[in-house]
Amino acid sequence: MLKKTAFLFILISISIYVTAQQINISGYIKDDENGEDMPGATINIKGTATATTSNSYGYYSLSIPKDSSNVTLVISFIGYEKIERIINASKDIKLNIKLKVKTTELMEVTIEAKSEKDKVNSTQMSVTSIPVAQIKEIPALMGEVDVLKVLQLTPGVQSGTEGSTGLNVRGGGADQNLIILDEATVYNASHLLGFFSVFNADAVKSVDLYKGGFPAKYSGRLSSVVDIKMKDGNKKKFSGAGGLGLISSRLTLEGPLKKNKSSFIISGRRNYFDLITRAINKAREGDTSFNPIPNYFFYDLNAKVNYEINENNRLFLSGYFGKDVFKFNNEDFNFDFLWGNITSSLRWNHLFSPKLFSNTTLIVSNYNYSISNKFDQFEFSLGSNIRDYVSKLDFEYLPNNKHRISFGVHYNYHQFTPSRINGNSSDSSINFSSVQKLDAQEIGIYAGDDFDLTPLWKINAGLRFSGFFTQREFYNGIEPRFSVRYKPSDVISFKAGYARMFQYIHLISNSGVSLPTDIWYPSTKIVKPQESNQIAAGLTALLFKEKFTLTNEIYYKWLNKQVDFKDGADLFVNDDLDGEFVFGKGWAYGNEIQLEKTKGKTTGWISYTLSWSFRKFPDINFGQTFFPRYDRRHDISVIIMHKFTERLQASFSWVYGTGAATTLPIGRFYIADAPGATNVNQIKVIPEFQLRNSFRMPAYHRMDIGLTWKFKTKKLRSSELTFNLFNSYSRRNAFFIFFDQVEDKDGNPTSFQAKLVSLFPIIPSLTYNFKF
Amino acid sequence: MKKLYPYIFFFLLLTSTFFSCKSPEKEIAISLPEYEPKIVVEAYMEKGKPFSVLLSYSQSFFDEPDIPIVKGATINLSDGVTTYTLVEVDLDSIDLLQDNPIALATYLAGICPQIITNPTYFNQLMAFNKPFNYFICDSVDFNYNQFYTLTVDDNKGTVLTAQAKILPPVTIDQTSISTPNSEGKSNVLAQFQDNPSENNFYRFINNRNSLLSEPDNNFQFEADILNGEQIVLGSNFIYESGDTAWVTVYRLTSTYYDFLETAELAYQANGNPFAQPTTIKTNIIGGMGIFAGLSYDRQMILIP
Repeated sequence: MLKKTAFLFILISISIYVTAQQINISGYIKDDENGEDMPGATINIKGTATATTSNSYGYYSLSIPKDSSNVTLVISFIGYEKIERIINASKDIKLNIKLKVKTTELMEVTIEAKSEKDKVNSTQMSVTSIPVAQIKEIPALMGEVDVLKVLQLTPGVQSGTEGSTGLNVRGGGADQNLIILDEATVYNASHLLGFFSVFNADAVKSVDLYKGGFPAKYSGRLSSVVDIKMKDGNKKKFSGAGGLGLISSRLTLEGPLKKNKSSFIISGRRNYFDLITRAINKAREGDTSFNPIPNYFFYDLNAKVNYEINENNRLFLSGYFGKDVFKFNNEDFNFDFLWGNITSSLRWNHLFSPKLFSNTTLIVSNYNYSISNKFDQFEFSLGSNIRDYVSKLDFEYLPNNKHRISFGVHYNYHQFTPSRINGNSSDSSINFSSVQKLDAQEIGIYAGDDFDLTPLWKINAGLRFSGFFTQREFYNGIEPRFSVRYKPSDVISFKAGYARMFQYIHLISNSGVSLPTDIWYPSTKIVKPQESNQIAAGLTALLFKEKFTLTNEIYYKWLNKQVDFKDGADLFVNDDLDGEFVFGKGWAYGNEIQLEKTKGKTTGWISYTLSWSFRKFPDINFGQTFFPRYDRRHDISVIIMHKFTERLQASFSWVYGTGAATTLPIGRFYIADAPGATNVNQIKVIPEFQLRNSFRMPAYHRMDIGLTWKFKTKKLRSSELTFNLFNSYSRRNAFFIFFDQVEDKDGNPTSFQAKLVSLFPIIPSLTYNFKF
Repeated sequence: MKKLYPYIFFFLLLTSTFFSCKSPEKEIAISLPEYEPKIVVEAYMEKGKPFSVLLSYSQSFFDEPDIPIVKGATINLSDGVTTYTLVEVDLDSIDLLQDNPIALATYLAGICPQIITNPTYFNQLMAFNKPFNYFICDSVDFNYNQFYTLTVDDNKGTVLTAQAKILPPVTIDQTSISTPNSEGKSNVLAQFQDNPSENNFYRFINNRNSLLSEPDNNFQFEADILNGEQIVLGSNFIYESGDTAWVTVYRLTSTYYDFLETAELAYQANGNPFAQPTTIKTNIIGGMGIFAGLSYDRQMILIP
């Protein structure tokens, strides 16, 4: 593999060297209405196959032969007016371009983050890019638009449990996804046990999910990268948007700080479960049979400012702050449980030359939870956190139209506090504290090139060296990334790829749901880094006059040095976690097919995934192969959106998945226990579990319906009302199954019965959204 | 901690069932694989107390809810020098005669004539109404930190062995009663010193008025983080004036702790989606259950 990669780099060097004398056209592509950068716009030399796309900051660079006259550039972005620019130049020029939203196709809806042509052209495979506008149209639980849950509707992605935002990508664990917001890692991307994600769609500009074919700049997790970018803020005028929903409300304000130079965006969301439960508690005050419901709420705050210093330098400062608050207080004790993420990124875009674009990023990312308990004269608190200090230097070098070279270096200083515990009493008779701390340093150096070998063949080759220094151990590895595209015609391409990934930190979680007490733990002398190797092959075809896009991908993934936990592992505030791990391997394979319609009054997609995922650990299930919880043989999604009139729009989604693998007891025995431990008449029934995940839940399926009515725009103010019917036929999907003791009227046990507990029945919700 | 998640889960259920009047539970059919019953031993040694064993079979989960006891087994307890053989009693007969001490004593005397001359032994044997189907007729002079071996032969080809010891008990240094809250209820606290030279495991149980009642608190923990600290454990605010608070701190061996912890996890996992389904750790070689020594300090506190 290394020899092949070396050969490719030699090839790149030769092709760069032989480039004839050319001039360069470069600049930023922006939205004319709000000045936002437009990543993924296509810049094509008319009448030729020469084209490029803008990078994630909207920057592009294109070369044309020197002294060529009347070269016409065609700049296009789906959903925007295509524009042409005639170039007559004998030296390098800067050309910033503003694109206007299409107005000629009022009744047409076009929903695609990347153009279909780009999907065919690109070497990038196994990627899903869903525009935020579309995410907002898909019906959601309690009307809460959720970026991560929409990703679950795409092929190859499963949710761990009912209603959860957890992602299981191509048979990988929920801890094997790198979720980044403006380049900062978000360690716990969920609120309320994983039922809502931390991303407020109003502040999000783009969402890209990589399931394979990972670009060399990404690393650190085995199964996927979810790259979320925040909006920059409107550079033209002050504007706002918001919404009032069933369980939360949102408000976003954005505008120029200095017109066309600098802008800001600030976006907040507050959930108000606590107001509802407080009202219930107040209504039941005095009722001795009623136990007051604890207070719970969450909030998110996103903020960002950017400043264009000059043509060659731009600064971005963005931050996210979110918290979940759970309080259970009465006169006898106070119990506060808080958890949340903080991320902040400072980025500097610098152009060394029109062909060399750089991005320097400084990041601080933090996740922590804390529990404090006051009881009588005693105070007790515990918590845990992970904090990263990251610096990244990324370059993009565009020597000519055939090459897009990227390289960079990343450094991450991780601080782990797996447990922190304090206890004291007001009379000072008790006073103790214990803190467990670990730190580690992670580095990455990478280079890659996306280049046209011939008009038919395009190659993306990259190499990353990653390393992790911890407890005097230095783990490191070479991560080759390679993909190739063969495009026999403009409407069809075949792709294949290989990627290796290392994961140096591990999530300490033993439950199927995302818990705030799930903590991250570094590789140590005992716990080795996880490793994956993935191959994938597929095709992308445009069908029926390019109205439909068909993609099919087949993949096989090897997962080595997988971590799991011993039976009965004590993961909570344990200062010897190393002793609780067990190690094994996994493998997963499958086929993903998706037919997507992105133009016209009716849009949407149908996807079907057939997949298998396996794990094998010497210390689990007597060394036998077993399925992880999220193994799904069949997974189907049908998403349809239809625009009836300019004012009325409907959406529909139906999902079906094979039941999750689950663990159930097969036997039971009786224990009388020690004196005082049970009621005199009670004898405990202890379930006997044998093999992990040897049962299946019933199949999961659900249909959601959404209707949106847009009110007439008045004085630049627009608003809409969205009605969602989640689980519209009220399918009782299994959250978990248990065996219950059936008793007669005297309380004597007569038999045992299996019962299924579901979480979300039919839930209607209404959301009012506005913009000004 | 895991005990907290059910509260949050309950909160979710409440909000979701707010939209639906149907119960979130429904009965389903699950077919279980064929199950091979195993012999389950439950035996506790306590200094100065009679030694008895509950010997039963485990069952397939959907079998009839009765205790399938093991009959005709030979059970021996040995301290390495002396071997005591247990006698068998009929669990159903004991259950039937439970409310008639004279008839029960007569029944047991038919098996162990010594019972007649040692009423204290009989009373201790029956004190906690715990089921047993094998016991030793004479008292055993148990020693702390000495290993005892239990051997069970079902006389059908299965032999089980287990080893256990009784640890010296911990001493509760101090107990206290809080001032009553607005409902007139108090809590009690027990304070003891952890020995820093050892890795200790404890179990805390508090009962209201009777040791035969459902405990208010019942949990076990490893004192690794609290190593060498003064440990304070408290009840909930359940005690009213005139009540008796029973506070018991057990000291556990690591094998007994592992059994209690995994049995608790398994118990929780059937019905709590946040608990880990786990296999139960046992010190019974060839079977299931627990053979352990009980060592504890217990305080009885009168609530003024």
